[in-house]
Amino acid sequence: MTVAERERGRAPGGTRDTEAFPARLLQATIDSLEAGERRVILDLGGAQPGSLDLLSGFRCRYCIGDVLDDLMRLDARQEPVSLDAVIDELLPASVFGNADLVLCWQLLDYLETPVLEALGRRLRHLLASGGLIHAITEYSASDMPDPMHPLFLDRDGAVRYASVRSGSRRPAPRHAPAELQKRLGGLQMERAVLLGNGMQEYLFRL
Amino acid sequence: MSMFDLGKRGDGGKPATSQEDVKMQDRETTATPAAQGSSQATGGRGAAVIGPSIHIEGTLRGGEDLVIEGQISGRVHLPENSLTIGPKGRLKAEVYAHTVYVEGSVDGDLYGADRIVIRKSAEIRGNLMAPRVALEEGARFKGAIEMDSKSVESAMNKAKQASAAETSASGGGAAAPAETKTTGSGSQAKPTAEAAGGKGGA
Repeated sequence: MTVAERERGRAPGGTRDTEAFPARLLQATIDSLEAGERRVILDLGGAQPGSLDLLSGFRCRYCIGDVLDDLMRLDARQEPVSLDAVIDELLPASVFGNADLVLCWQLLDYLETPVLEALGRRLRHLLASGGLIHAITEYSASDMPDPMHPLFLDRDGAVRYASVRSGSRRPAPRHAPAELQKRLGGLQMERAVLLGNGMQEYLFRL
Repeated sequence: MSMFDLGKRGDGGKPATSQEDVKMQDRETTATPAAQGSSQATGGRGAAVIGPSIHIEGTLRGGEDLVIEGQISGRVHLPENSLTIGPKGRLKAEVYAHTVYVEGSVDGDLYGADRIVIRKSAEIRGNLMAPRVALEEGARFKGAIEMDSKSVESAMNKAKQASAAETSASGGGAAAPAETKTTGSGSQAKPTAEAAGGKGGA
């Protein structure tokens, strides 16, 4: 793969949904963590060998929430207090609390607004002081895979789709940065980077 | 300096990877028939097997390798040996073993003095503490994996001490009879199981 192709997140002749792409904001975030300190990383996605491989050599507690399906199944018509109770149970502070970095990839595109806001409330509670949320969303594309094709961290530090599945697509919400910031309860958006493949990386700080 | 440059664990500074560990396990299961998920007890140097119809409640201790295809609620303590939770195994327990292989279902924390290997058929809800953790694609896991060697060591020591204190309080050693209640699926019988240190096969 040429440098230009890697930057675009495509292999020669490949499609975007099948290839790895560099997430430079994520890499920079990890690089910026203070050297030598143990960190807590919460991945809202499922367990993936590549992510574990990459993180297994470093000082961290790697928490796997595996809540993508559970969150997408939630009935958004519930009262906020009910949604909060369900999400609290899905992400108990005893296991997932005090997180320095939360990996929240694609979820912001797939959750209905009330659920997204409830998740934002929960993440604020789970984050350590000064903790970060790293999010990846669709930005340029008008549609996205349906159901979601989960992303995971590859052992070489790139972000990759967990599986290649053909399937239908649905309109992408294409949230504006300010809207996401509002939905996440006013977390500060530190940086946003548009990737070569049309997705957007965000970094929010508590 | 990058976080990724620090705290590397594993032999010779090279972090163990899940693929390497999985290959190691492949070789070991080939050499140990009972660890392939069979419910047949093996004699000689093979692992003891708790069959799928067995349900144990309590603390299970032992001094030999063990394969669990049944249900355990409580604690499993095999500090010097390997534990395989087979595809039919269902544990609601805290587990401490030298090496832990998971193919079945676990609700509880796992401590592996050497390593923990999670197979693709595994479903785990709990926390993992081990110097090396390997995971196969397809496994379901919800919880935390401690990657910091100091934290792992501290947690392992605490688990060891808690277990030693419990053993001492019960007046037994590693080979003492387990404090267990065992039920077969086809009866209401609840004999006390001599599951530790001796023949754990069912």
